[in-house]
Amino acid sequence: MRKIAATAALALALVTLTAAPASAQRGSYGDAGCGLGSMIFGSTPGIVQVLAATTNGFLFSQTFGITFGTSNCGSNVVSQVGARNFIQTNRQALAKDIAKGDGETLANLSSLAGCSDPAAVGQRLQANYATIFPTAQTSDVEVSDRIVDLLGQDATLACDNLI
Amino acid sequence: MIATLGACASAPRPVALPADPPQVQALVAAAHQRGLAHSRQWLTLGHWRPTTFGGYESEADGAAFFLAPTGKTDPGAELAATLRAFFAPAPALPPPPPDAVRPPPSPHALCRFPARLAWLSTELAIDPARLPAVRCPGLERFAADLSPRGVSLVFSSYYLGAPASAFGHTFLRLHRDDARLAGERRELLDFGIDFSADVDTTNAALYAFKGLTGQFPGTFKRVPYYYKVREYNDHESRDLWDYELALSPAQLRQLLAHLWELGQTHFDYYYLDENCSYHILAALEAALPHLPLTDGFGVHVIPADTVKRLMEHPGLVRAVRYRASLRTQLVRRVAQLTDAQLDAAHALADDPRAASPALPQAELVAAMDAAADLIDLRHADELLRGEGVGADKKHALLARRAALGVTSPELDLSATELSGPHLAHGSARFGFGMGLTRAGGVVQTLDWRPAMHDLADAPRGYPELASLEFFPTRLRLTHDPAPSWDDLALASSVVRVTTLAPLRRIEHKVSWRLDAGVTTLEDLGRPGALAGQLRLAAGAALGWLDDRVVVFAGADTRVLGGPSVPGAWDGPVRLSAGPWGGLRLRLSDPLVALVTADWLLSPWQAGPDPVAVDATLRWLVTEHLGLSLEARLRGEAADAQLLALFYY
Repeated sequence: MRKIAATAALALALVTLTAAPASAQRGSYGDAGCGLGSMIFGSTPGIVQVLAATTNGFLFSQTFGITFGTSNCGSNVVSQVGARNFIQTNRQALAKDIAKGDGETLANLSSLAGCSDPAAVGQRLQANYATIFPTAQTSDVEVSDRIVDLLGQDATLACDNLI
Repeated sequence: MIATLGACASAPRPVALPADPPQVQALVAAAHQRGLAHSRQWLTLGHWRPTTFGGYESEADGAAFFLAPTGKTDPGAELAATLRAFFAPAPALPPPPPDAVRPPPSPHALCRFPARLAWLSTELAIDPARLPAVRCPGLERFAADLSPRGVSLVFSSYYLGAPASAFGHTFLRLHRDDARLAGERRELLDFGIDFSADVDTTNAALYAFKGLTGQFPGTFKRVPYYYKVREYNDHESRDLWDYELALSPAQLRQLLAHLWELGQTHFDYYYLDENCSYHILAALEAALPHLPLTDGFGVHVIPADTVKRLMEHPGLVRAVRYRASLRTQLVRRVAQLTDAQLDAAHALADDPRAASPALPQAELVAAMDAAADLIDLRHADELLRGEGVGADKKHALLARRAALGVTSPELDLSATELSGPHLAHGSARFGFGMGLTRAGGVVQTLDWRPAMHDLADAPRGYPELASLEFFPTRLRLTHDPAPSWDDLALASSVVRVTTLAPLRRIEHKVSWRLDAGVTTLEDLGRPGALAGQLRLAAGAALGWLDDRVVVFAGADTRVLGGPSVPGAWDGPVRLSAGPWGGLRLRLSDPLVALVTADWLLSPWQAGPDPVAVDATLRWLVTEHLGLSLEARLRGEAADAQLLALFYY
């Protein structure tokens, strides 16, 4: 009974929603690593994606089991959150923090990678911005490779957990 | 209560089987004697709820969650089956293959139900030495991965882009217990525990139908917390509120153990009641059975109400934290800029390769950082896919910013005092009022609204300039002097949404209002005819003084339909359009004035087209009580009344 009432209650809200502009274009994530786009909106076209983003608690990726902690990006990122996955998922926020030379994502990456000095990590990555992000289209995976390489090369940063 | 239920014939009770070993028989008998099967703790662990007919049914819908064939409806049989399974001999399985990614789940009940084991061991004093020796590599790994230092309930605030998300969303954050990874500014590395539906259709209509009728399975998931932050904070620009719970180490262990149990099952997902917030609360309840967290939730569970439920238990919430959305960060950044910097930020966001503005370096840095946020906000979808003009602009701007080689100062992102869902008025409202008409008669009003907020309600805990109402209903009786049925007027909407978006330099958005429902046509003679209506208005708004003062204006359109409606071409459908506008003043936090006016004209159609003005002055006296002085003008007719509104 209450479920029927519930159905009626939201029918009109959904009419409103479906009138919202849908971002119909969808890129291909074939080699997108574990980036946010591939995980959350993996294979969902336009309008349903908008619904999903707004109705809450509807996640298209069925791959985050609570018990196994695996995901569809090929590595066991969930149980062992590694630097590479962190970089790929946080790419947009991390790019801004690297350009600024400081910020939350840099502090977290620094901890995750076992580096001794977050400020030095920030300066090092800022100075190499153009190396890390050579073009706007550089893939998430390439970005993570380049950052991991940079951090690994500099012995003074003492990053000992670059997985 | 336990004794009463125990005496009842239909009450669940564990029954031992003749084949059971003596120790199982003894434990089952002890559990029966103590009425454990219908104790609150056991019922929360199995998510059983009383049914209308006096029995029990579990909300868990996956068969793997039950050891007894009748477990879903029989807590007693499930308890006996659990005890029996705990003492079953360990299977002589070969050691698990060295697969680091996916350790196979051990089938033994000791590995599947650690929370049940912990509680039953305490209650029945089970000697661990007498249990079979079973290794549980999956469970061990899970516990080692997570082993939290603490837990928070996180509330994802409203997504202004879409009214339906005004209900918000909740999930858990498990704080890492790793000295190297824990601490201030390290919460990105924590884990999020989310309850969400597994959607299997891309058809929008099917999606809506299945979502509302519980046909998607909902499961618990864990993701690195940074996924959640990026999804909500950045991509959807929703503020996050984090309520750290004061759990003892034993309660934390029990919560973790129960989450493991929940990971093996699913719950049919109902958008309105058995939704994310309900199940997150139910999972917490299993670790905190002495707190009735889910009691009393009825037709719908609104996430903000679950936050308030936590706050009702003194000492349960240890700390409240706030995590600003991308949009909030941009607004804070822009507030610190001079006009010249703001010009530069906009120029750079439009063309990141434009000639360098003549600004001192520190000022240029602040302008560039604001421009980067602006690009993020404007091109959120493109950036998620890493393509399009947004990605190009951002890349060019950040390369230029990095080349300056200086570090940006940290931005103050603390919460404003008006925000926070725990401060909000109750999401449902009931009220009554009385007043006088211009003609000297009396007007009486009944008001009811199951959810959730309008522009005249005190805004704390809600988005300041958005209103979302489901089934707002008002019954008015005007009598002069004696009441009659003809004087009864109803106005009820299925949904009514208003979004005022004052024009700002950083964004130009349309302000709009949508109303769909039924209304009594008082203007077109008596007795008023009941008609369905759909109204849509759109326009622009301007705001001053941090949006304490907002004016808006635009055009309103209406389609009315009903048997007695004097409509176009003498038909039953009346089409109207006309100007629409208003003023909203937040005089103080709990005191809001709202005036709206419209003049809907219906050319070539019979009947009057009166100007309609509504003026409201509403004061939220306490969290639960509001007083509302409301005046109403419809052409020549006018009335004013005082309403008492109860928020619950």
